[in-house]
Amino acid sequence: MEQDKNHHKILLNRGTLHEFDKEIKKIGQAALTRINADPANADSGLAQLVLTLVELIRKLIEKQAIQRVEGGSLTEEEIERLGETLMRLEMKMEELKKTFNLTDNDLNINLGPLGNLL
Amino acid sequence: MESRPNKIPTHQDMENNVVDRSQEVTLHEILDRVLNKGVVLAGDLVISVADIDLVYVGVRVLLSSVETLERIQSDKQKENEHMHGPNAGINR
Amino acid sequence: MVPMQALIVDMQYLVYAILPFPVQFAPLAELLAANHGIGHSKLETVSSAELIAITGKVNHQKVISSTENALAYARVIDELFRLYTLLPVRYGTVANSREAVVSLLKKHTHQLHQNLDEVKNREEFSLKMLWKHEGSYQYFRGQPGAAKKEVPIPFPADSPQKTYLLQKIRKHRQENALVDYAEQLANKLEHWLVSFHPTFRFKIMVSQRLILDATMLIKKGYQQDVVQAISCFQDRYPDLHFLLTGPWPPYNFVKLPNDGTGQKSP
Repeated sequence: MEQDKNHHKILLNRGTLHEFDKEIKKIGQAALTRINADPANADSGLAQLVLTLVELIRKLIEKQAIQRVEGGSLTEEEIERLGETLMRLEMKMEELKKTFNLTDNDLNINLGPLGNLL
Repeated sequence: MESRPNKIPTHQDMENNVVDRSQEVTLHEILDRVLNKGVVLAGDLVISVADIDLVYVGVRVLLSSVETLERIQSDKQKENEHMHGPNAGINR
Repeated sequence: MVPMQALIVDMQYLVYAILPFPVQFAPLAELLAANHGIGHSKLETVSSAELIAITGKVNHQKVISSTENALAYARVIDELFRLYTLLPVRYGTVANSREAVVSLLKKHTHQLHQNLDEVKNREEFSLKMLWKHEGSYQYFRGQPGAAKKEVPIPFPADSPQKTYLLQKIRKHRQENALVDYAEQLANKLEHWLVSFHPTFRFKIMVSQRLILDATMLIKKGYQQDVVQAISCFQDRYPDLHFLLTGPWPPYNFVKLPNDGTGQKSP
């Protein structure tokens, strides 16, 4: 195999490459993880995908709900009910995660704020 | 410390597990570009074998569904109120 | 007897990049001869009246997304980019025939030409910014530009539901503050680099730690100056870690797909 020419692509790195590498992998952005995905894990892959989407919905709902609460137009009762609903949603999500043995990291949940999506 | 020259890893490197951090980071940058960026051409006589990012496609469908979900939720709350009176709230 | 399969030699054309026509053909032919595509395939050109596609003849089943293939692919584009203005094509576009490639070029001629004009003589750099510390919020409040005013809590914590909500409100306020900070940072970066006249793409808050991912298209030949400028910019933010990579062919500045991803994020 031909020897690679030295393409020096990293121009500046204040900090350590280790932490960048770790972060990129942690947030599931690494294209490498897609390539190395094991086709034998098809089933858990589906659960993972579905729950990732469900969790995304939940976070969007939560964000919109909080925005409304902060908007100041809700009655005390509505606030209580909203709180109850959100609590239950989150509990349900925890159950689902346990059932399928998936962690937050598995669901790429560590995506940061959803500012861009709304 | 990453003192080796910043070289793009070869297939052999990957197999031998001698890829260092700078190579891994560079590799990520390359793969992200090649697999996720660049011009997408589609046409009748094209067989495209590029991966479709399922989650990304899902998000777009989701965003319009969230409104429907919210409406369903608030409808359900109104229904509960109607049937059980204002103090019933959600079942404990 | 020759088995049926052997008669069906299905070779397709994997498209690597698109170049404007005309070009200096001799150096191009030399370059294509000196390099090979994925799986050691031969590289060739397929042209329409106004554009050139760099292709490699492959069996499309071999075009799997392996690291080795992706690297080989990227290397071809990188080598071409040293000499030519081009648009990199996303990995995996395989056409049935030369005619198919030509019709693709014809179908999008106008857009591709416009795009080629925009990237002419320019190269891409990527700048990622990471919070130094894992637990970002406690260090965030002291940062230059972070909002100082405290917004009062909207209701008392006199029930588990309200306590829960207050928790969530606090979390969302912190996140919004962080998003605002990251957007400010993006604006500051734009001003800092204004003399390079870059085109920017921003991703705000990729994660709670990776608060900014900026890609910039800048005229070729200023690499040292860009590194110097970013280095100075980094000095102002001791709690952030910068990672600058490049120069890259303009992967992030293509107009197709046409779904708004070409827009700058707020």
